[in-house]
Amino acid sequence: MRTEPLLVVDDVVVRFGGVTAVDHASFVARSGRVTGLIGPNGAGKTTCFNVISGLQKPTSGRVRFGGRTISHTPVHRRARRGIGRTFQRLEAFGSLTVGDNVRVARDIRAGLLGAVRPSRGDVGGLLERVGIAAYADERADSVPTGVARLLELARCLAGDPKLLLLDEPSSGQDETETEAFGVLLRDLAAEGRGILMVEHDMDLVMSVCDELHVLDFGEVIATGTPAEIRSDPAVQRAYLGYSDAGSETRTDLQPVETTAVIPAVTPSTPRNSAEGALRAMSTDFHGDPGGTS
Amino acid sequence: MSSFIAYTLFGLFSGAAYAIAASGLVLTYSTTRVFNIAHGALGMVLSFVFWDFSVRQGMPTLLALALVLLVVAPAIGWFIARFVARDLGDAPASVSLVVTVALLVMCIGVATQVWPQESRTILPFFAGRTFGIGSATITAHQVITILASVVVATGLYVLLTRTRIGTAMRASVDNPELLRLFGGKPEQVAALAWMIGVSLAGLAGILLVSTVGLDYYALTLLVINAYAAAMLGRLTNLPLTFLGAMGLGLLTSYFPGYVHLDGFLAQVQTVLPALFLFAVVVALPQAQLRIGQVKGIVSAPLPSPRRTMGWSAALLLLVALLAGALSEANLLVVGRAAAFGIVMLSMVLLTGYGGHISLAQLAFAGVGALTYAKLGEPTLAGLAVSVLVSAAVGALVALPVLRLTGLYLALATLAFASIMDKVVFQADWAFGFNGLLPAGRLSFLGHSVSSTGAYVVVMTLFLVLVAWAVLVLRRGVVGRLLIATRDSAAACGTLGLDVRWFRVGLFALSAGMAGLGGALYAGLRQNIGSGDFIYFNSLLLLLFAVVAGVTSVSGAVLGGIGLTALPELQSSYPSVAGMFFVAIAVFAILLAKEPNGIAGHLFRLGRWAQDRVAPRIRANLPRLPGAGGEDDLASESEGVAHAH
Amino acid sequence: MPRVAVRPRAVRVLCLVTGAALALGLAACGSQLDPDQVADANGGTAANLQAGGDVVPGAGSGSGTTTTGGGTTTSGGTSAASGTPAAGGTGTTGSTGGGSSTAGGGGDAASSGGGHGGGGHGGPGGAPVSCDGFKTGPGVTDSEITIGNSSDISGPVPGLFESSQDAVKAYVAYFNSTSDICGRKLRLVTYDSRTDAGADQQNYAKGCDEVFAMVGSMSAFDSGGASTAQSCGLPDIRSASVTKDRNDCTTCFPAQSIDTGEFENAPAEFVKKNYPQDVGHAAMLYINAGAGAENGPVEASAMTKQGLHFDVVQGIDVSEFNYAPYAQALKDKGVKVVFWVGNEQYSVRLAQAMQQVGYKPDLYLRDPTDYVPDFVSSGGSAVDGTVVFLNFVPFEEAGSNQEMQLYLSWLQQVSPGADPTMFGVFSWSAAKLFVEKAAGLGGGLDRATLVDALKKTDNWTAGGMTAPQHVGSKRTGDCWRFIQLDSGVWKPVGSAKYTCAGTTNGG
Repeated sequence: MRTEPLLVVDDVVVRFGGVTAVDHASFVARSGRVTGLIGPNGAGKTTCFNVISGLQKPTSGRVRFGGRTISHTPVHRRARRGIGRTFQRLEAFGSLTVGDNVRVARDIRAGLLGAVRPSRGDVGGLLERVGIAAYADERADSVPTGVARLLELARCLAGDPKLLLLDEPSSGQDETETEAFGVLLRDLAAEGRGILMVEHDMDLVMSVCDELHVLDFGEVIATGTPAEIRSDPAVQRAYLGYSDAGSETRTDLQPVETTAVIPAVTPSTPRNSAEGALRAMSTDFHGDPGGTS
Repeated sequence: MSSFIAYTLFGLFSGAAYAIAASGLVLTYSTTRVFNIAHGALGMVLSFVFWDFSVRQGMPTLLALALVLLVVAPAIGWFIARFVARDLGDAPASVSLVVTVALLVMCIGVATQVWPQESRTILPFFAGRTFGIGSATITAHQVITILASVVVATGLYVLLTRTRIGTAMRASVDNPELLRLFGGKPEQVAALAWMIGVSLAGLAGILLVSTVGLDYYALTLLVINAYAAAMLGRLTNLPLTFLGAMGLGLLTSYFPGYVHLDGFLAQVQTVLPALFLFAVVVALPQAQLRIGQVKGIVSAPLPSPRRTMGWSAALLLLVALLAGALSEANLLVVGRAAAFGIVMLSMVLLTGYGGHISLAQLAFAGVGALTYAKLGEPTLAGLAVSVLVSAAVGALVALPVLRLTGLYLALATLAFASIMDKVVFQADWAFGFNGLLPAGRLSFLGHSVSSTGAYVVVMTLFLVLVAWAVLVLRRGVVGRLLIATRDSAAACGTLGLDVRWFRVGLFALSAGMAGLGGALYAGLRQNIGSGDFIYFNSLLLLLFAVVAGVTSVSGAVLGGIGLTALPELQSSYPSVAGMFFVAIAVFAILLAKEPNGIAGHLFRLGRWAQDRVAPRIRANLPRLPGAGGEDDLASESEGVAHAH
Repeated sequence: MPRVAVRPRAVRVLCLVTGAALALGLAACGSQLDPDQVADANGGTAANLQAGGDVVPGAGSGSGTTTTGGGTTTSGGTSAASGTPAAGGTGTTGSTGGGSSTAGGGGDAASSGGGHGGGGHGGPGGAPVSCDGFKTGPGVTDSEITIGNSSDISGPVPGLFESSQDAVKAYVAYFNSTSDICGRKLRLVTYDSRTDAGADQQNYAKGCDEVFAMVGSMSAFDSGGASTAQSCGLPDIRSASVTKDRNDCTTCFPAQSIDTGEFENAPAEFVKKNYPQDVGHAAMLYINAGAGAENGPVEASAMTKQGLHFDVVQGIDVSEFNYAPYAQALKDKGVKVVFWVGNEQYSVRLAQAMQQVGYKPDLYLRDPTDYVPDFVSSGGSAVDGTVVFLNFVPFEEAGSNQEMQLYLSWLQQVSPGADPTMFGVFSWSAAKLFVEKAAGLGGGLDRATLVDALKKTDNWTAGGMTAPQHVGSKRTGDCWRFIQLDSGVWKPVGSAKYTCAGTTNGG
């Protein structure tokens, strides 16, 4: 029956003005498996997430989910079909308590009749599952980053998604927390959910992912198991800026925002010269005045 | 053909004036992400300064011009950038809207205070000097204006593309963080943008003032035409803005020469710029849901049902007592405060909880009043129909801008309010121009509430009911959703909520509440006209909502009282009438980022009092209730404020 | 289910209040007083009698094309109005031309009773009226009669109608210094209607309790207090009514009378007489908002009925600042006579635009809104030659009229430096009307009898200060005169006499 993977990103291009954030990217994510999406900052990972979840219209290309093309499906319908996501920059409802954050998610899934139907998700249970039950009554804008990330995950789970898009879920967590988080991820995958994860903690990535896609400058430059990726010369180049294929394998690959070469802007530099610098930065910031709400 | 040349030249003059104003607007917006509603108002103030220098103090024109444009305007711009607009770009659009609306009101206040109404004249530059082109004649002043617009356009182009600071500015158009990365100082860039922006506002004002006249409002509102032009350039594209402005100018010039419209179309012509604005806003490509660390807002605490009940009863009792004691005229004031309180409650829902700015709440109230008066059915059924019609209109406004948020939504409501005001309310079938429609006092089950005192009590009852409804909503599922969409619309979307339709529903609900306030007000007055819903007052409504506290029910009641008291105070102390505007604007600017407003502070005070002072007070005799309208209003507000 | 079925079409004081530009609109407030047919004053009518039933146009001829008032004219000079019972009514009052008599000086002075009931009491002017039975009531004590004035003071255009309030203050000061009504002095309570219908209503609600009558009020949004005044029977002698609602109020009487739908012929007659060659080339421009949009075309159609031909009938948006294209269009179309409906600020703009495009019509004919110092000072050479039709004695000729002199001098006493205005003139006129009616009623004075007396008042001139006004019937006064701006100075065109002509239904 499984004719195609849960999620298929097919030849997606996203341009902001003159900047190409995603350049003909194609990759897949499968049910029951943890798929990693890695690459240096500015490689277009978050933009890919936005395209998949529907927050960003791709310039071209398409996205298929569960066997159906969803390129033109609005955000909320994609969510209802089973795509859940978390955000790199936190999008917790800061004015609400942690518990209410999850309740909102539950209410939304319950729809118009949510108020009268018996609640579907057990809020306390969800918080417990991700390990933040102790924070249930605290305001979401006052909890530590790591907790807020887990909160976003719990919020997502309230909708019982088939696919989880996790954007740097482990940042802000210490070692033990990360370890527990890895276990949780495997658990979630074992329930049959597909998980697509952007993550910079290479230890976590290498230990939990079944498959990895490496993005650089908006292109998918490599795909494979963690072991394959670790030894891929193209990845080495992208991450470390050198092409010595024979160099020893590194497991502590780190993002390179600190080493990225940022071209100086001189008076004679037209806008496009800023492109490189823009790419070096997170590209999820793009100015549309209407979006400033 | 010669006429054509003449029309073209005149059109270029209008277009040039719009272009200068619009490019200042665009420059400020594109570098700081602040849409300066007060752009025209700043131009107005600066043209008064110019009058003061050149006419009152008798300086040579050139000196006065240089002083205004190169010293005063940049100083104002720097001040705004440093103290008023700081960090506004990162704040939600609602905050920057409130701040610039406050700036606008402040400008008007300052101008009325410093330059009291009197007859003032500024002659055009080189008055009397004209040039002939074919059979067309154009004045030196018009030539100067056209040239100035070209100089401004070229100057801005050179600045933005050929200088280091300009490049930095353009970079910040795309990404202010990028600028920081380069070691640029966004604060300096913003300050420069504001300085140039205010100078351009001043230039536009001074070039127009000899024809428009020194008027507090005319110059302020003229710039709405420039909004449309700026919007064509999507607020960031200078060349498109320039083209838009020139196009608008030429259109309005060819019009009298070649087109002739009658009746309704002629009426529509008067709102063309507003329609244009609306159309451009609607035609804009879909805005992406903005992602980025939205911080939660410290909301006002929610009162327990018991306390709400207690204080509602206290408020009703107080008003009932007042109803027996106050004169007819003072009762009208109390009733007006109650009506505004209900309209303010609609803003608590929309702005306080939902985070959307509407500049059309009074227009919705007007729809309610119009429906109520037109129905001639002063019963609960008639009232319900009025509310439903208002709600439907609210939904209609939100529908075309379904895809937009923040600033554009607010501008769309502004355009809508102006269209309602100019075309709909004054139409024959509506209120008629400066006309009144009689409205009946509400009757329940056949019993008409005919005495003003009883009617005011009924209005208060409605105020309390609406307040309860708002609180119940806030406590329930919808309230949580409201807060959630305000904190992060993107997250709500990815959780499966159709944010756009939710927003339409919210607008409808809020408009319905405003309509209820309007309908009740019509019944209080027993007659109602378009003059009661002038849209400029929607700006004041917004400011009062923010100052009093738009996140709480008590804030709404306070705001209603404040909005009612303002004109009474201005009338009582005419020598400082302008200062009241300034004061409310300053408060709004200070409180813009802390939306709980005065009510929020009162809650804190109340809690403190409860903990520390209350025991001691209880030991003493209870205070006597105050006598007289204003005193009672004050104690009324306190009563409610302490409720929470 | 009451409806405003008829738009206040010929409401003369036009306040263009538009939503987008509230103040633009308010600034566009001004009187658009209907010109009357210049029936060619035979200035010879030496009789200084100017009131009198003999000028009254046929009563009740509301909607005909032309109602003629005949050719009676009156001089702007001192005059005595005699109370002649006319058409079942009565009650004009006498004020002798000389001296201080104008005020009526109490019940024993030169006032004739405005009679209770059909002229029964209306004896010849000067008959003493008994003060017996003078009742105290709202606003009336044994020593004082309290009157109120509610005018637009604060609001978007601060001081909009302050001159009306000042005029009443001046009149009260003048009156109290010379006279009393049955031993009672006047006391004035001032209210601010804030250019807001709600405030107007509030003030009249206060007025119902606090004052005996409202006198000389002037508000842009005067509809608000109309039903309030009527419901408590409060007499409201206004400077002018702006809205139809106010005009319909049965206890409200404007000293400057205006009827909705009725449009005077004078300007058209003026053109026909003085510019016969231009009759076929007229243009009507107007502020395209509210009453302006309504009145402009209506006036044009009324004057068309009078034989003028309009090449251009065009509205200009309130927010339009560039009038040059409109002036160019006038020039291109060979227009010779230009009418403008809108206030002086815009009138100046149009005049300057016409000058700029090198176009000078034979006649630029305007309503009294242009008769303000601001028009002359801001218009400069562009407005020179403007002709204004007027229904009161020009301030330049104050020397010829006792009442006008009193207004000007007492205005300076209560408000030094204030400019006299048309609204002030008619507020003064309203105050004088109140005093004369009150004094005439003597001991019979109460709100109802005063309203009754006012209802019967016709051809009120305030001692020759204004052209005859049909206070009781609220029909448009049809006597007008013309002045022209000549090198910055207003000078009479033709004789300094009113020309009384008929009116035309402008529909």
